[in-house]
Amino acid sequence: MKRFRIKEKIVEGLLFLSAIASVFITVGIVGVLIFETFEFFKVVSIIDFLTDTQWTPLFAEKHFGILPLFAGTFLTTIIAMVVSLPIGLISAIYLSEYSSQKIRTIVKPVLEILAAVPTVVYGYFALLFVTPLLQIFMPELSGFNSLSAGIVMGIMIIPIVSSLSEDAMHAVPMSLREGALALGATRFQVALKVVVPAALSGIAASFILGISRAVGETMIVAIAAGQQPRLTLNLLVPIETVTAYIVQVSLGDTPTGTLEYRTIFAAGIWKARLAVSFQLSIQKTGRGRHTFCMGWDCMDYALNRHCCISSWRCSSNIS
Amino acid sequence: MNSAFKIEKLDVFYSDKQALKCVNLDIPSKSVTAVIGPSGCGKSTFIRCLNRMNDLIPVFRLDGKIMYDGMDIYSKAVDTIDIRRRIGMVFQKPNPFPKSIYENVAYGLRIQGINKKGKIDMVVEASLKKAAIWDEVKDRLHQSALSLSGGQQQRLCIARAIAVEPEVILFDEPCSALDPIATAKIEDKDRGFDNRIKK
Repeated sequence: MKRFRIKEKIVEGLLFLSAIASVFITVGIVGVLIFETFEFFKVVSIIDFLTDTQWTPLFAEKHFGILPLFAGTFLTTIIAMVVSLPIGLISAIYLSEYSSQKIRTIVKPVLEILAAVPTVVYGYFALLFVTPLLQIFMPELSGFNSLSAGIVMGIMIIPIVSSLSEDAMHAVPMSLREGALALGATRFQVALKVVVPAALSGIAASFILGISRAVGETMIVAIAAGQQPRLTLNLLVPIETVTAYIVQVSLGDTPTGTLEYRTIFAAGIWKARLAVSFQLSIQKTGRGRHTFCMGWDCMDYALNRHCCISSWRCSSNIS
Repeated sequence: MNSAFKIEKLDVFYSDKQALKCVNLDIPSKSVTAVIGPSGCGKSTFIRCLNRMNDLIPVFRLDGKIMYDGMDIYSKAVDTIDIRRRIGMVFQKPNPFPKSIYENVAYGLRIQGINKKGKIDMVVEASLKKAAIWDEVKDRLHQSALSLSGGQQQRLCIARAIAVEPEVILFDEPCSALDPIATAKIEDKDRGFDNRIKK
């Protein structure tokens, strides 16, 4: 009898240890980020960091203004959103409200395959296909630019937005559609004025997830957008995003413990902060007025999973 | 007496399963007609044929004729949207939209392109009064309809159906999910309509 209890205790202990492991890892990552950032800001003033308009830590004349990197991330993210949010939402509306069951069972998995393509492939697709294609229409476009990187990033994000939005819209009960149809609504009116508002929390979650994916995307921008931090809104010239910079330093021969090395932590922690605020905003959207919380748990789960992956990516880049 | 619906040799199938068999029925206008029968006998199937709600079910198939106001509502020339606007429906389970109480009632007008606030205000108030729920909700018209109780939600759905001034309202056991007091309130209201009602 007693032996059983001991065994039970050991099992419980093991389960607890594996559950707590991820918590420790997260705490560890945050700890390293904070420590290295602290060391960085001992040397560089935070005011310079946030207001200087040049980012040249790897040059002889060093400037540590994060703004150009943020501008790069901001620019590519905006382009990706302009591409992915409308297309993603429209295809979700089509799949959920118009297509037959047969079409949906074919199209949805195919669309989701887009999300499974390795991002390095997207990166080369942007650099070697989209950019030359755009150059036919825009001869002044440089070989590395934020436009094609943003567009391709948008293509990559479409399945995230469409698939999660479709799940949310699919979860809206049939009785609501019937209620609207019985009043003489057209299918389009049902979709736009009943189903989309009812699924709004899920749709918003998919948008935010898409945005955070764009902000955290590394490979595509590192390959196709260039490595020239510059504070600009010009879509045609090379830029550099925060993530691309982290890659640049990680792959280069920057010795550990130097100031140059610590810049990536300082840059990374702002991104981590951004990810956390996305997470909080997504949880707020779930409590909106008049929205259904259906499909919400799955969104929350998806986001949590995503945040884990992106912070893990961040840290793997660093190490 | 004029008949509103003339139903001739109506057969309804779900895939291979026959749900209704050779129904012939005249339903008089300006009166209340009740359809009764044991559960699963096809009452809902029958009344959902009258405003083409069964179109949503992919395996649904229908033979025979349903004449309404001199036209066969299953002929190709008929506009389903128009049919459904003229023949309103209240469902078994209350199904208010996840919007405010006011917007629920206004929805039917808005989809017809009526957006004048004065007109909508008027119709919303009149419809809620007819559905005997005005006094309970007049101070919180802009709260979510989902905050209402089941019986109130069902009366709101009735108000929503009345707002578009349908010629007929189909009631599909609107009280099956409600307690006796809420039922009494709704049945009380049913008698007040001068329209034709099926239940």
